[in-house]
Amino acid sequence: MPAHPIDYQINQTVFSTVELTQIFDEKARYQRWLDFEAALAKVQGELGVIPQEAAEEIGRKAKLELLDLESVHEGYQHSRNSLMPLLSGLRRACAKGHGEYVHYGATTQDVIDTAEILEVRATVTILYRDLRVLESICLKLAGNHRTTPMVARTHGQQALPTTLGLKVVIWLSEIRRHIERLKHIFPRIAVGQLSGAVGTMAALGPQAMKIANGTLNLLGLEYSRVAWHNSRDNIGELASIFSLLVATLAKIANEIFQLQKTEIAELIEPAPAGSVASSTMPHKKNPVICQRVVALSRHVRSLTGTIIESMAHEHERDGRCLWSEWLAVPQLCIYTGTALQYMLDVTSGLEVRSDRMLANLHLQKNLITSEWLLFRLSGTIGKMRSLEKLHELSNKATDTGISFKEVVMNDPEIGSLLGREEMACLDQPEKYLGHAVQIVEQAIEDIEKKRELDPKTLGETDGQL
Amino acid sequence: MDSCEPNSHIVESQFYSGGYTTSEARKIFCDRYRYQRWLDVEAALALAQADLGIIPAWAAKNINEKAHLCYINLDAVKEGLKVSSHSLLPLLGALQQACDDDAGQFIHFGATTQDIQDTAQSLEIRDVLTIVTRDLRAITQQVMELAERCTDIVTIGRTHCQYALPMTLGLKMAVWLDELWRNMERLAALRERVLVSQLFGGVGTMDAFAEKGFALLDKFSQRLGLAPPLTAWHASRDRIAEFLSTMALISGTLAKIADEIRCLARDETGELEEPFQMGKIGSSTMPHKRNPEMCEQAVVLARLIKANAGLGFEGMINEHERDYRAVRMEWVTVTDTSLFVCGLLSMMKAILKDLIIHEHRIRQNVDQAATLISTEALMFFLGEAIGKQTAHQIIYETAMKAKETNQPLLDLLMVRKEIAGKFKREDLEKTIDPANHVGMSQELTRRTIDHVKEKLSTTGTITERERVCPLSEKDSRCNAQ
Repeated sequence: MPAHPIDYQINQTVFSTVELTQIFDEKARYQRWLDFEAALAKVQGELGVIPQEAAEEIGRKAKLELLDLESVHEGYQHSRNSLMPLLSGLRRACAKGHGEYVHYGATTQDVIDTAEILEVRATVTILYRDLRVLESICLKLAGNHRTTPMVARTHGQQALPTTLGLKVVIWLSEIRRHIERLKHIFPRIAVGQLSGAVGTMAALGPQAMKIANGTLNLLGLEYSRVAWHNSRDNIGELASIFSLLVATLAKIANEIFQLQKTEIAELIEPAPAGSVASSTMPHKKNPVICQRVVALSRHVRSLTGTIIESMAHEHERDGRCLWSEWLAVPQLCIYTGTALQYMLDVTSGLEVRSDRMLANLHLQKNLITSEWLLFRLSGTIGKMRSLEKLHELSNKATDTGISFKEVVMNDPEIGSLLGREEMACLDQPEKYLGHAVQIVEQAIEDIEKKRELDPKTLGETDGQL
Repeated sequence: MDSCEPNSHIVESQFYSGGYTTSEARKIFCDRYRYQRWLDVEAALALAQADLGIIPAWAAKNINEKAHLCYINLDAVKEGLKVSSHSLLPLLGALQQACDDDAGQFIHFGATTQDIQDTAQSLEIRDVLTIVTRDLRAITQQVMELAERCTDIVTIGRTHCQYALPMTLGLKMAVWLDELWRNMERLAALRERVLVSQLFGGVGTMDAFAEKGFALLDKFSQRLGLAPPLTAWHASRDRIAEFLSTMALISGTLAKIADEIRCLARDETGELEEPFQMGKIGSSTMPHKRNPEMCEQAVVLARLIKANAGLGFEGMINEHERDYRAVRMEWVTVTDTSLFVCGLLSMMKAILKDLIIHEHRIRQNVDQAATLISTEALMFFLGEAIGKQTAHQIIYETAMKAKETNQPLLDLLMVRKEIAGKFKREDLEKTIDPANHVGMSQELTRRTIDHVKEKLSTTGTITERERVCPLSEKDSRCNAQ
């Protein structure tokens, strides 16, 4: 009975991807908890802290399918502890009373936190992979359109000519920074938790340090040297990076959404054949996916807020903070990864209407190159005077509908300063591109170089941890 | 005083505060007014206590007379705040100094600091609500007039940023109007709940007032024009959270209107434009620009106000009987939200007052889009003969083809085998005339206008009073000194 859209089975991938939901699947998560207990028992067995035989039996039975899940489920109905019913299940599954040595000296939060790290690490692995794919798609897009002229807009108003390539390399530079952020944080977050009830490792005995190191190494993690039960800045940082990342995706999605407006129609989100936009307006072609990305980004940002707020712990452990973090993290990861998947779809099939771009560039009858004229005139009558003058004339052109060029040529003060021939520049806004093409080429080259230094993957790629 | 008087918050900027608030709103929160308000509350307390024989009448008379900023040594208060870290005692100490004989001994008799500050905050909020109600009413009126004026202007309705169906501009505005009116109702309900006093002592038991507590609360509240609450709300901050979230709703409505204007002002659309006058500059380097900057600023303010609403909810989580971690947050959130909301309202009034409606562009856009935006009507027309779902499929295929090949939809439709020979082209043409397909646009618009007009006519206005700086020469009590 999937009640949350993340888990919908009929409409499965609206707000999640199969790969990501597998990471956070309830049974996968419990198995991860059992893996922790098995690793702990193994190390404690080797060090003689618990009988070797018990360690082996725990290792053998720490498999979800060997547990009586009915009674574990029953246990959760009564117990308010998030781990005990599962551990009781494992204890019962072990023969000859070996189960008594399960979870020997660890605290519940050691297990849950360590598993959470494995989950977020698997998420980062996926995000890194997808982000690099997005980068390569955008690199191609920018390269193909480095000279495709279009209108640049500020305040929602047409500003100056630019190229689509330049717009895209700005997206690219953000994407690249996110890749660097993920690379940077990846080793830092790969630390588990095994410090006992209040971080003193009291119940782990004299070999506590060895146990912690050994257990976490078995799980592919480092030991943090000191407990981070109440010290959640790593998760907070990760959540902030996810927020940044999704904000970039949402900004790109929103740009496409805006440029797909019927009146503008310069970029069109790909619509697979057979997709229907409206149930009652047969002509519609909607940027649906872009809108979903924006919606997801809003949720990611607010989840990040919750996670950051959960950093303010009281004393050694604080359930109010933990529970809000533990609830927020799976959604955070799934929404972030889903938004990224969506953007791969959108960018890889993005329809570029360069004809519409050119038409829009000519929409305002040469007003758009007023800056060119400004600098052309500045040498003669000064920049501030030119600005004032051209501002007056451009408003006159807008209000009267007469072409800007005519208005300028007929002006008694500046009309005579400009030859008709050089004024022809105003008719070709697509030539007023500044250094756009050069900037695009340089940025592409720069990013290509950085890509060569990237590791192929961050951690395992199969997500089965 | 240092020769450099830093005005670091943007609302204090001599140059930019106009974009964020109004001088009228700043006056409410000026710290002179704030202190005077606290003194007013102390004076009301003393007078009410004298009425009930809790403190001597001569002392109350003297406290009331001296409870004015011009008698207070503000430098001593400043020094006292540094030393004591207490937010109220230094002011009370200065008031005591100002009082004659032993009258000062009867100041703040049995009240707790938060009683005074919360009550004063209610007075602040009352002043804010006066402005908000006045301006929101004016905006409602403006939008009503706009909707009336635009009742019959056919325009394009858009969904997913795409042309959807025809509608009237009046209907778009009627939707704004309906939302604005709901905000007016929220404001009225809010006043009832929020404008209450606070006078319950240290932990809300009224211990120090004993059996006279209830009578005192009534008299005290009455003097200040606030309602007496049933019980202490020191640690019960839903009222403030409601104020902050209602302000966020109001700003959400205004920002949505501003943003719609901004979107429709794009060069490619060009249907609405915020007021422009010669001299208003869009860009420092692109002389042709005309930017919807006021509309953008409205969105900025709404975002700031919305962030404070979140803090309002956080402030509801209090520990035990009083919790300053919650209350002190309000000193910032209530102030900022109020300042911003007043700025936003005044900006919206200016935008709507001279909103430019480019009717020719609207008509042009509608004419050019006619075939596309009337596909729903076409679908129902064809559907009568061939079934609605079939019609949807045919028009969908043809519309996509029209888009891709840039050919007129009707041309393509008329050659399809399901259509050719079965329908007349002029019937199809008549069907797609957008003016015929605005549905109930006009009726809906009129209905909304009538409703709001009737409601407005039965809603009273709130009397305003002029605020005079307690330290200025205009203040009569100040001159009496």
